[in-house]
Parts: sequence; structure tokens; C-alpha cells
Amino acid sequence: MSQTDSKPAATPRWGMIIDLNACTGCSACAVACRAENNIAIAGAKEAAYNGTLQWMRIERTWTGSGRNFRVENRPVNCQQCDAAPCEPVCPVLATYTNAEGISVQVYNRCVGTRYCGLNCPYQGRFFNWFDYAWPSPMEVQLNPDVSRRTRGIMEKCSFCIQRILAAERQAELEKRALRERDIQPACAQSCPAEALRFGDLNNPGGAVGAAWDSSGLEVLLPEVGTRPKVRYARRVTPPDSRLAAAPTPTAEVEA
Amino acid sequence: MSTVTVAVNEPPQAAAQTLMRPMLFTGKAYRRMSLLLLAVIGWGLFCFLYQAIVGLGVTGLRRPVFWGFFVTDFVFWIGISHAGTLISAILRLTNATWRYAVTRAAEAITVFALMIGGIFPIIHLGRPWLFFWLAPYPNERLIWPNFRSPLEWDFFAISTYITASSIYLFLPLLPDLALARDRTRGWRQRLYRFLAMSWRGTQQQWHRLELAIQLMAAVVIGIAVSVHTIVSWDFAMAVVPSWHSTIFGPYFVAGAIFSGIAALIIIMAILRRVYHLEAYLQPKHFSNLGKLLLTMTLLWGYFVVAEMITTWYGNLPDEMGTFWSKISGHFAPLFWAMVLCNFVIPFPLLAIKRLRTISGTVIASITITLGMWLERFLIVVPGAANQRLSFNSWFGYYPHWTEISLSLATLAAMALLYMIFSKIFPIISIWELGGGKHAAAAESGGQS
Amino acid sequence: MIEVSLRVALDPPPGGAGLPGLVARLRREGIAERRIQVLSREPLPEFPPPPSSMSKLGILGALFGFSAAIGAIVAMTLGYRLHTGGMPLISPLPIGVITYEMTLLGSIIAMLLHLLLGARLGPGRRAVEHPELNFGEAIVCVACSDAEQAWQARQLLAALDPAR
Repeated sequence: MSQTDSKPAATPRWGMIIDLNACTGCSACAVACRAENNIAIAGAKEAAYNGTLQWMRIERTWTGSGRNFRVENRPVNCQQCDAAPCEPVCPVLATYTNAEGISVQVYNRCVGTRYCGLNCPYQGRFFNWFDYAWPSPMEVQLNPDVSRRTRGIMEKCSFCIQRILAAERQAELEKRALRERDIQPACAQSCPAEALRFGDLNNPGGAVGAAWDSSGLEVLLPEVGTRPKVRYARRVTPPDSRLAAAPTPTAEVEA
Repeated sequence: MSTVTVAVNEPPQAAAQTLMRPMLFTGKAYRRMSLLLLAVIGWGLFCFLYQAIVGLGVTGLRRPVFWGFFVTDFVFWIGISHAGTLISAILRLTNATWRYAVTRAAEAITVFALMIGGIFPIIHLGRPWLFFWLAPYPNERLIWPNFRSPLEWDFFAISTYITASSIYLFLPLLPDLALARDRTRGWRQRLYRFLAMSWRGTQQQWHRLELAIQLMAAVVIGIAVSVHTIVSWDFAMAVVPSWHSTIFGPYFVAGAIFSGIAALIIIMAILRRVYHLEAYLQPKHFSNLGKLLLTMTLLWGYFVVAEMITTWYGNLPDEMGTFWSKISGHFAPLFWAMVLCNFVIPFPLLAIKRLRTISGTVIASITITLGMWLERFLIVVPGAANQRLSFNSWFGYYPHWTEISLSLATLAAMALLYMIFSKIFPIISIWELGGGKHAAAAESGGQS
Repeated sequence: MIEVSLRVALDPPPGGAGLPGLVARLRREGIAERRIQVLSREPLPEFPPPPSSMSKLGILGALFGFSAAIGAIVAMTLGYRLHTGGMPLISPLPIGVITYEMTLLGSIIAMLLHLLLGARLGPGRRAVEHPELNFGEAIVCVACSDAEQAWQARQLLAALDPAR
């Protein structure tokens, strides 16, 4: 992974590229996210009733049959939309896009109308149906930088805003510019295939900023017009050996 | 051009006595019924506290069906509230003289249904104790509510509607409260003296009161239409595929008037039976309201067909999930039950003159009330369950006991509020009946 | 203040010219119009309503509600500026929805105030009550400032009583 150290622009705009070619569906990102962000474990009974909370999840889709059978593993988190449908519908302004482009959820302000959850076409928002418990010794691994959520409020992927803030504070203390490589959300950090890349979209030399407009990238549900800041590197199917004459598709994913 | 005489045999003096009898005497059955309803309400209160303390997980709601029974009940009750003010305002503005016996009962439905409906958004909140954050009140954080949210529009629309409809219920009550003040003694007289606000019946007062009622009727229609449109926009403004529809405003308003008339007919039948008001609530009233209901049945059917056929013909994959889940899928039994209740059963009962009797219209009204509840459910839940990304769809929603209990408890609360109202206030407008006779004599009768 | 009253039945109409005729006779006898009140249990078509400013006040109230709503929403939104991610901070259409409601509410409240003040209604007020008034009847009241005026009024009303 070639990361340049060029200086990011004054106000960063955070984005993520998820490479579907590299993703193996191992779910390490989901586990790391859970550990980093104190996401509650609802239990087996709730899991069977769609009651789990997963800021980062792997959605598997199966297509075709026989030789054409394909499995696609798609990590889905909050897509951090520029035109987020979840935001204008909240009656108490508990969610908004902050200066760095992250759609943030204000836990203290949320009253739990759940309108945002319905209006998210990606279903990237999760509701605290109960006060969840961390049975001993699990409470020991709770991250002190992230608040535990109470019952009755919404939560969602924050791009590990606590890590961003820590890096920004550190840069300020050391009186230097923020270095993009200092920031890695838990999911990107833990991905063994390096399928998730996180960076500043205002930094044209950065890993994500440089690749952001390449044609191999797609967004989920472009027709809804949400302008997400998570883009997927399209899955490129390897050519079938029996169709040797067919032109080889070009992979434009890696910049 | 048949003239409807309102009070048949009784002179106004005797009519006033008959109509005030429920206010003065309370029977054993009334007390038993109130206790029963109080018990149900108490159980509902317990359920609400339990749900607030344990969390909304005690309901059947889970992602992505974030809205279920409570929102269905909310839309349903706001719909019922259109019985009143809207119908009575239309009848007043068109000067239909047969309205005298039904307007008060209808206006009271509005106020109480709005109270009940207005509770549901609070019950439904994840943190109901913070509901006041929706109100724009000055606070130390200097943060205001979000005026771009349809839920915030709801807050303004419903508070406006409840204010306006309370005023609209109260103003025509004034002369009757003064009559009650003059015909009672003791604590009752003190209560009515306070409520009647020194009404004397001078001609200046009459002129201003009649003008105020007339002008407010016009304004209240504007409010009532906007309120249910805004309720429908809770859904239509969302990007959920089957909700995001331009037809929802008029569709919801028509449905609201539809269920409102049905509720009015049911309550009128109960009042007629319990308070022996056979002389005032005549078959003619039920037949006239039945004709209105027939119009709304047809209008409702038209809207459903318009909504469904455009979805089907467009065949957009996002919307077809919801469509087929209603027509032949998971929600099909409820959908076809709704068609049965809202159209197949009531249409012949209301269209055939011989069947448009009191019992005929009441049966039609009961099925319509059930059917309209189902209709609201079938808008809320299948839309939320069918998501654009197939891996997000989920059909596991079923109501848990808290949701069912709270729905029943609020129904009991509505019944109890109405019972208390009918004990304190004359449920049929006494002065309008007297005035109706007077005016009918002056202008040789109104038309039905 | 003393109030002198006369109870008349509406059917048959009192006097030759009916109730308005009776009131007109009282005025001819030198009693000022504001001292005369006709009380009834139902509105009397014999007395047509005079032109009223209520609808104008309703429009004024609507204008007040309209401008108050827009002013308050704009002030509140600008008072707590939110990052909206490029979306407009103040958007006219959603404001319009709330403004519509507040406009109609302003109109209703204005008309209610007009009614309460104009018709002298209010929870704190006290008025002379006439519990004997029935449907199909009217009571003609004359307000008098002293006993002598009251005696004269009583004579006058007794002379005009159609039931006599």
C-alpha cells in the first residue's frame, strides 16, 4: 500500500474506498469495529430476530448457478452521504454532517423517533432496543474514548471519529500538519486483505483522494442521490478459460 | 327536497330536559363501564412504563421495521379525528339543517381522537421522557428543533389542530352551558357558571358567536386538510420506495374522512341506544351519513386503484417488492381483508337503499373502521419491510403484547373521555335544535 | 346598576311589529340603544346581524401568525447554525408548512379574542342571569343607573307588555 505523505488540505473530508476484489468476507472489520466502538452484543435470541447492532457488516449475495455461481461479499457501513437522507428528517437535530464531512450522531440529543433509520436507504443505522449488558469480563475491553449508548437512541458508523480527533489533537500538540497515515478506522486497520482504505478526499496525493474519481469505483444506490463518501471498487470477474478469445476486462481499480 | 324535522314531537323545553338528563343522572352500568375502562387504561399505563424502563425492544419492532403499531395507531386516530371538525364544518358551511343533531358528537370525537393520536408519537419515542425537545422552547443550549423534519411539522400541525378544534367544540357549547347553569344547582351550577363565561344570550353575543362559528368552520377545514396531509408526508417525504408517493396527501385525507364518518356513525348509534336519543338521532341521520360514507367508499377505492395500478404498470423493482408482498406475499391476507372491510362489505350495505338502515350503516362503519386501521398498517409496515437493497429487507415483524395492550388501552381512554364528556356536556346541541325549529319556520325548511 | 326586564313569548309575535317593534318603541320613548338588550335561548332571525370586523381581524391575525412564524423560524435557525453538509440552512418549502399552520392558528386566535372581547365573554366576568328564560321566549332588558330610572323603565315595559 503506497501512501504518500503529502500535506492534506486545511479541512479534511474523509472518505473510504472498499475494494470488492480484495474482500474475502472474513468479517475482521466487523469484529474490530465492535471492539473499537463499544457496540453492544444483543445475544443469539435478538440476532435471530434482526435485533443486532453492526456498524460494519458483511452482506453476502449469491448470483447465478453452476459455473456462473458468484458470491459477493460487500462490507456495508454508514455510507457517510453528502446529501444524507437521515439528517433533515430528525426533528431534534440529533444528526448532521460535520465540518469534515462525517455524518455524526449526537447521542445526547437523540430522542429515538427512528425516522433516520427508516430514511437510510442503506440501513446503516441501528437502534438501541434495550440497555445492553457487557457480561464480565467483557466490560474490561470497553474503549474509554467511546461512550456507551443507552436504550432508546440511534447509533451508526462514525468513521472512528475518536481516532480522527486524537490524531488531530496530537498534530496540534506537536505543531505540525495532520498526517493522513496517522488515521485508520478500526475496520481498515484490521482488514488482512487491505480491502478498506481510508483517507482525505481533499488530498489529491493521498491513497483515497488520488483514486476517488477513477471509473472503477461505484457507489451503492446512486439513483437515490445520496452522494456517499464510501465508494466500492467494482468486482472484476476473471475471464473464463474457455472464452480465451474474449477480450480481457481491464482492471482500473488500483491507481 | 324533503324537510328534515329535527326534534319530532317534543317542544324545545322538554327537549332540553331530555338532552340534559344524562348530565344529571348516572346509572350503575355507566359506573361499571368506567371502572372497566379505567382498569384497561391502568394496564396500558403499566405497559408504557415497562416499555420506557426496559426499552423499546419489548415491542416487535426491529431494523428495518422501525415503525409499526404505534405509528399505525397514530395515523389511525388522527384520521378518526377528521370525523368531527371537518364533517361538522362542511355541514355548517353548506347549511345542511340535519346537522344539528350530529355536529356536537362529531366535534367531540375530533378533540378526543386528537388527544389519543397525539400520545402515540410520544409512546413511540425511544426516550419518551424527552418529548418536549420537539417544542421550540428557549433553553440553555440555544438549540432549536429542526424545522425541516416532517415530524416537526406534525408537532405544529397537531398542536394547531387540537387548539382550533377545542375552540370550535367549545364555542357552540356556550349557550348550552348557560342553559345548564340556569337549570342546575350546587357544584354543577358553579362549574357551568365558570364554563359559560357569563353568556347571557344577548343579540350582540348571538351575532358574534354565529359569525365566529361560521368563520372558524372555514379555517378549520383548511387546518384539518393540512394536518392529515402532513401526517401523510411523514411517509411521502421519506425515500422509502413505496412511501415516496405524491398521491399520499389526498389519499390520507380521503381515508381520514372515510374512517371519521364511520367512527361518528358508531358513536351515534351507541349514544342513541344508551341515552335513549331515538327522537333526535333518527334513521334519516344515519341514512344521510351513510350516503356520505358511500361517497367516501368509492373515493377510497378509486385512490387504492390509482395507487396500485401505477405502481404495477411502472414495474420499478424497488416498488414491486412492496406491491407483491401485499397482493400475494407476506401481507396478502391483511390486504385482502382490508379490501373486504373497506369496500366489498360496506358498498352494498350503503348503496342499496333498503339496507341503508341504522344497523346496516353501523355494520358498514365497524368494518370500515377495522379496514382503515389495516390500511394504515399496510402502508407503514410493508413499506418499511421492503428495502431497496434486498439484504436489508425483513419480514419478521409481528406485534408484541405491549403494542397490542397500548393500542387497546388508548381505545379505552378514548371511550372513557367520551363518556365523561357526555356526562358533563349536552352531547346534542340544544340551542341549535331550538334554533333549527325557529329558523325552519322562518325560511320554510332546509333540505336534506 | 339595576336591570329591568320583561319576558315576552315569541309565538305569537309580541306587538304589532314583533320584537324589533317593541325595541323601537322603547327607543322612541327616549331609552338609549346601548341600554337595551334582548336575551334569548336561540338566535333570533328578527334581528339581522350588523356588519362585523371579525373577518378583517381574522385576516390581521393570519398575517401576524404568518410573519411571526417566519420570523421565529429564521431567527431560531440562524441562532444555532448547523453544518448541513452543503444543504441550505434555511429552506423555504419546509418553513412554508409550519408557517401555513401558524397563519391559520393566528387567524383563529384573533377571531376568538374578537368574540370574547366584543361579546363581553370571559371566565372572570359576572353578568345578571335570567334562569327563567325559556326557548321560544325573549327577555327585553333595560339597564338603569338609579332607582328612579328603573321605576320609569318598569312603567314603560309594563305598558308595552303584549301579554297585558
